[in-house]
Formats: sequence, structure tokens, C-alpha cells
Amino acid sequence: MTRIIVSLCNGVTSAARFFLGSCIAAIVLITLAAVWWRYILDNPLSWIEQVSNMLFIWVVFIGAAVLYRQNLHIGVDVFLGMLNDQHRKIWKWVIEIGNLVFIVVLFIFSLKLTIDVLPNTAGALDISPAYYYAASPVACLMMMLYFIEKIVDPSRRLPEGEAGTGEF
Amino acid sequence: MLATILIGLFFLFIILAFPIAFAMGLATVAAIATHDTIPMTLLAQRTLVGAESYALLAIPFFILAGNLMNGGGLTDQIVRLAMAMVGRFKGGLALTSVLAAMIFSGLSGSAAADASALGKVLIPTMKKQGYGGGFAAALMAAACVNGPIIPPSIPLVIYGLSVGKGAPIIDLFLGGIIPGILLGIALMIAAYIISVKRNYPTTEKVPLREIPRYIKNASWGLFMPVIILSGVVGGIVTVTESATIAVLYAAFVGFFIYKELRLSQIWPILVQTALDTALVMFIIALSAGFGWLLAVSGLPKQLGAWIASMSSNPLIILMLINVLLLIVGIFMEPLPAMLILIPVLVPVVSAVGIDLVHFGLVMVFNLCIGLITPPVGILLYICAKFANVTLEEESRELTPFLIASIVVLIIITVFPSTVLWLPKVLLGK
Repeated sequence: MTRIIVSLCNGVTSAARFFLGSCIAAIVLITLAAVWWRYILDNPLSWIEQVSNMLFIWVVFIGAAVLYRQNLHIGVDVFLGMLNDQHRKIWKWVIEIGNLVFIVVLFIFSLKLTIDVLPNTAGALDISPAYYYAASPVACLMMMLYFIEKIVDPSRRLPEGEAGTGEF
Repeated sequence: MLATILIGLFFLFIILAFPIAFAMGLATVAAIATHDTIPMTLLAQRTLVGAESYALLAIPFFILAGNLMNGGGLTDQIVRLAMAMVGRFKGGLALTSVLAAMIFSGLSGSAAADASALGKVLIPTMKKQGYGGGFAAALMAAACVNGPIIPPSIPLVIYGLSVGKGAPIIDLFLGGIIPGILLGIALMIAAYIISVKRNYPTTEKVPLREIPRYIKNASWGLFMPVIILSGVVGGIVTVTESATIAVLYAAFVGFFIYKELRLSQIWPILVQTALDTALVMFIIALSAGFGWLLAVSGLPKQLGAWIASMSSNPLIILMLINVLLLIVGIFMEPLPAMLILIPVLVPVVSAVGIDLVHFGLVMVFNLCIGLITPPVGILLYICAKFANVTLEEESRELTPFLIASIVVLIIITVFPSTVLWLPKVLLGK
């Protein structure tokens, strides 16, 4: 069972990382295209902003899910340092369960919102905002899956890799 | 009531070591749940809208450009140039660190990125030359506070977007240049005095006539801020577009000029950029619902009235806000602090006629000092790791640099022209 869950999570994460890299590449390329069309060809492309925004929202939410798996969301861990090993272990689970409550609430209501706006259309492409909004329930689903993985695989409870040395 | 639950729980969760983004989300959920009329869908809706802005796209582009430059061999050239210029003085390597951080700030939008790139090279070298590990780490951390002050700057982009009218991003970018230079000078003076006292060494004296050669070698990097700023100043491109041009430029320099960037590095850099972006943006997205509820609660208005009742003198109000921000900065990262406090403070300062560009720099500068105050100063952690010292050893050496930073903060608060003069001259306002 553990093996199935871990390999499922690995598969989802590889797909997500491929998706993230491709989205960033795509956003860069279409923004450059926008500059080219506007200034060199003097023929602005109307769909650029909408597509970039959509890709960007997906990057933010799917990226947040991958960061969740790698335990890289930033917090202030002075309090954890004050606890002994046993208490720290317990407290980390309290935090995980708190996080899970938020993830479930966000999942339910962002899914509801996505379904509600399905018939609407907006923007230059005249597409439903559901294409943007779906990023949130999908990311929440991933995080719920990763939560299960944290239960079965202790190595998933520790930070892995780095993020944020390129921010703030 | 709404505000008490929101702020109280948020701080409680932060203290109890919840990740910042989730602490914000949970506090928002709790506040909505206890309110009679606000629907929970608002959480989802605000969160998604919070991530939707074309101008926010500048963030991944600045991160990507920084990551490409870093992979492209520019860091070494910048360090060599800085060393050639100031290495001849007592404590040469310490002064080099400050100057290199200033130059690097012009390439990246972030303090943590600067500290990782430069700290890795300079802190171990300083230790090898006999500088104390605590000193090396504390100085490097303080020098990297300049990252978000000298343009480009991610916090200034976020400030400009949150405030909207009255604080164009380009004005903020130009406004950061002089405060950034002042901070660099103040830190160099502090480092020099300590170096003389402790007899820290000089590095190899490069003849002055050779300096142009070093400038030429680093010029591809030095040119990047010019590219970012000039297109926007000239009104040719938007900030987001200039950030993509910076990406293209960084890739070009890495591949064809320094030839240290490999095609195989591009993919990991893209994925890393996505994750770095998500880390910042997820907090921004969740702060949208939080901030909206805070506004509904009426707290900003009350707090504003309270501050305004203390004085109507802009300078006194700014000083009071500075004290408040310094305290907040000790406990919070600049980004969430800004997102929560901008809607509270901006109405107050604009009511007494304080320029919002001036205020933006004061706010960002102030909160970034929080990056080098324990216990949550992220720069302290990054630099302590490279120096292999404890946070206590590093903090003991921090005082002179903290004082230098606060002196510059007071100067830019008291003299608005230190911020506003350059945008006025270059943009002709």
C-alpha cells in the first residue's frame, strides 16, 4: 500500500514539475511575442494577457502543492525548537492537521466556485473563468494526496530541496 | 470582533510554527465561519483573484533573470570588480562584500537570492583571510538588505500594485537607488571602522588604471539594470515586459558572452523559478481574502483615526509608523507584513499629504531591516549557514550594521528628496 501511494505521488509530482517548467517557459515566450507584435509589427495581440494570467495562476497553485510535498512553505519555527523530540513530533502533526483543514475547506469552496462559473465567459478569448479557477481544487487534491503520503512515509515529513533563495 | 479573530489567530498560528500562507488561510476561514453573512466561497474567490494580475508576472521574470545570471558566471565578475575597487582599503574583503551586494541588487529583485549567491563565495573567503565568522555572516546579511531596495525589487512591485494610483512601480524603482547607495555607504563605513580596530587585512592592490578592464568584464551584468529601467522610464515598455527582456538578456549573456550557461541547466532553472514564484505568490493570493476581511472589519479606519489623533505632522506620523514597522519587522517577513499593513497605513499617510512613493521606500526599507533581526531574519539564517556559526555568534556582531541601517532609514524618512529627487529628474514630473 505504502509503495503504491509513494509511487503515485512521485508520478503526480513529476508531471507537476514538467507542467510548471513548461508554463514558465510559455509565459516568457508569449510575453516576448507580445512585445514583438506590439512594437515591431504594430499589431497588439489581445489574448496574451488572459493566457499569461491563466498560466500564472496554475503555476502558483500547482507550485504551492509541490512545495507542500517538499515541506518548503515558509514559517517561523522558533516554537518547534523549544520542544523536545517527542513533543515536536506531536506538534508537527497538529500543524499538518491544521493545514489539512484549510486545504479541505479551500478544495470544497473553490470547486463549488469553479462549477458555478462554468457557464460564464470572459476576456478576449471569451472562455469560462473556470479554466483559471480549476487550478485551486486540482492543487488541493494534490495536497490531500501528499497528506496521505506523509502519514505512510516518514521521510516525507522533512524539508526536501530549496525554494525561496530567489525571492523576497 | 472580526478583526480580533483574524489578527489574533493569524499571530497565534504564526507563533505556533504554522506556515505563513496556511496561517493566513486558517485565520480567514475562522473569521468567515464566525461571521453571520459572509459566505465561505469568498475565500476561494478572493484567493484566486489575488493571484490574477498581469503586473505580478514581473515577479517570476525577475526571479528567472536572477537565476539565469547566477548560472551564467556573472557572480565572479562582480566580486572581482568590487574587489578591484575597494579591496585596497583596510578590511578590503568586507568592503568588497558590501559593494558586490549593491551591484548584485541591480540584477535580482530579492535579498535572499543575493545572500545565497554572494554569501556562498564571500563568507568562506573572509573567514580564510582571518575575519571572524560571526562578523562575516552579519556583514553579508546586512549588505543583502539592499536587494529589495536597489531596483529591480519584488517588494516594491508588490507595494506599487497594492497601492495602485499614486505609486507607479517605475517611480518606486528609481526612488530606491539613492537610499540603496546610502545604505551601502553606511555599511562600508561601519565595516571599515571595525576592520581598522581589529586589523583585518587588505586584499591585493589593483592599480587604478586597470579598473576599467574589470568594469569592462562585468559590464554585461552592470548593463542589466539599465535595460530594465530605461525601457520603462522611456515609456516604451511596461515593467512586466522589461522583466522579460531582462530574462532574454540574462540568457544571452550566460550563453554567448560568459559561455558558462549550459542548455541542460535551463530546465531545472525554469522549474526552480516556478517553485520560487509559487512560494511568494501563494502567500499573496491568500492575503487577498485576509486583507478584504480586515477592510470589512473597519480596523484600518480605527487604527488610522488613532494614529491621526496623535499628530497631524507628517514627520511625526512617519516616525511613529517607523517604530511600529520596526517592531512588526522583528516578528514578520516583509511580504506578509506589507500585505496586511498597506491597506491600514496608506490611507493614513495620504491623508496628511505624505508622498506614496516616499512612503513606499520608507516602508520597504524598514521592513527589510527585519530581514536581519532575530528570530525571523531569513538573511541571518542563510549567512550563518555559509559561515558555519550559530545565530547567537552572528547576532553579537550585528549591532553596528543595524545602527547603520537605522540611521539611513531615519535620513530617508526625514528627507523625502533622497527618494523623490531621482524619479522627478528622470521622469520629468
